[in-house]
Amino acid sequence: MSHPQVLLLETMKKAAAILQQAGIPFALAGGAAAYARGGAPPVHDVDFVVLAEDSDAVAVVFADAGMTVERPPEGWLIKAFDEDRMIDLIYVLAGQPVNWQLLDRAERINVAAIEMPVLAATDLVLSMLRSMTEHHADFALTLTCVRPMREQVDWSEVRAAVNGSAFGRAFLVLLEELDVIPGSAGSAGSAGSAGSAGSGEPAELENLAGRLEHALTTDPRTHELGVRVEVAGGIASLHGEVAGEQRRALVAAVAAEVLSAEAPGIALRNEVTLTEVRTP
Amino acid sequence: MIRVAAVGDVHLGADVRGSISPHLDGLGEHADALLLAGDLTQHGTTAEAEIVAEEFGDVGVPVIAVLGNHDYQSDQQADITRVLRLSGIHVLEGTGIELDLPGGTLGVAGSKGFGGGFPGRCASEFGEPQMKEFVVHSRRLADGLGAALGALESDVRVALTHYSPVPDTLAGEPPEIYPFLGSYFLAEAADGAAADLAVHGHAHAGQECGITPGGVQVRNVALPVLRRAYAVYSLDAVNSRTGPR
Repeated sequence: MSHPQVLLLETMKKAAAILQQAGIPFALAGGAAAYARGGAPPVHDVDFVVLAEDSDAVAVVFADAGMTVERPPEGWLIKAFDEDRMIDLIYVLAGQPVNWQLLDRAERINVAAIEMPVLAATDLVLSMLRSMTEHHADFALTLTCVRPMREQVDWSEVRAAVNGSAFGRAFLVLLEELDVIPGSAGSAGSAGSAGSAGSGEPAELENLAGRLEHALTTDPRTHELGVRVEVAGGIASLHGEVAGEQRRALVAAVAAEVLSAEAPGIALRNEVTLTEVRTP
Repeated sequence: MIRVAAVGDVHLGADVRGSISPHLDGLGEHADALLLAGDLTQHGTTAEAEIVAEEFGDVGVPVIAVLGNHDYQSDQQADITRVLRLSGIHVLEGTGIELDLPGGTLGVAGSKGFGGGFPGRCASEFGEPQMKEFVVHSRRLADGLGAALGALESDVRVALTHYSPVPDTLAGEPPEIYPFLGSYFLAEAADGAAADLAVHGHAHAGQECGITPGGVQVRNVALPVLRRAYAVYSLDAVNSRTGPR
């Protein structure tokens, strides 16, 4: 480990001690948390999460400890500087205010000879995927963080939580392609795989997808052959195109009937779109 | 030059009545005939066929159709055919039609066609009677198409089917379902008669352009593929398609 990395870990320990002594609840986050969970040591900065209501108190205790404190205009973190080493004290994590539930899920881990709360692995991965944007989507760095702690993560929860994010879904595909995590039930190529990334029995989820597709094809209200169903992470999602809004609604109604009869715990997501017709 | 407009898989029903016809205004300025590549209805009922007749019965050029699997769903294919014919639409199944158009004579031979797949991964007439029946149905329809194509004496000859003659135009569909989307028997029929163009539908997630092993240009005109009410192909220069996009 190079000298600057050692100094950054000293900064991490110093910051944890300041928070602990002030009685401010916190958890280690970001790259340092990934380090605590088996990844490479942090190189740029160390991140902590604190409750949004503690942000003022955090600024005070770090200033009292002799550090330079900045409150950037973005309004989701406080920056403290231990000489030139930066500490991010985050109170809105990837768009979501830090709350007690998040801190309660953190686990106490011995990091560089000091025990401190570290974000739960699933929360940590989610925070990384949720903060990706068009201008900030470093898959390489995230992959380095995620790979060593893949066994600690509830991937079905990650899958369900990032389903609405193109970056999140893309990263999960990358993890599957690299065999970091097993493929999701119902996705192409996973048939016959013994690995389970979803809740429930994967074979049962695939069969449920098949039964939903069969119902959408044969039900006299729909007769839709082109709607594909994927079941993963507690969600059955419908994909494809139909000719009109009423058909889109009927597809959802037929699928909902099957789910309520056979798998009431599975939620329905209708991503079916309408066929566009233009005048040539 | 003969300009042929084509579309398939309009899946008409009461809920989408009138959704196509506004886009057909002026079709006669761009094309000499309109081909419909099957799945004209959603549930295969004569009530829906009436809507197809409304939508396409008065477009100003001859309309030539084949039925698709959806049009067979309610066992009313004979009545659907009758309704369409009463509105002036030519419905083909193992038959052909020749039209004398300003640019020359156009012959169209049509069949619904069927599945079975493509060389290397296709079904054979072997084993259980159900399997043989599946493949025999496909072969019989392709043979009908081939015979009808062979009987055409027109300047240009078009093979019109619902199922695809080639895998090229299925790209985008899951490869596992190709055997349900088309059959190479249809390509054999088009190649055997050296057709000038093969038009099909059925594969909503496929792509527009392909070619048979014998060099016949293939176009998948399923509405979700075209994303426009019809495509126009000029038949003495299929490779450099002209007309409105």
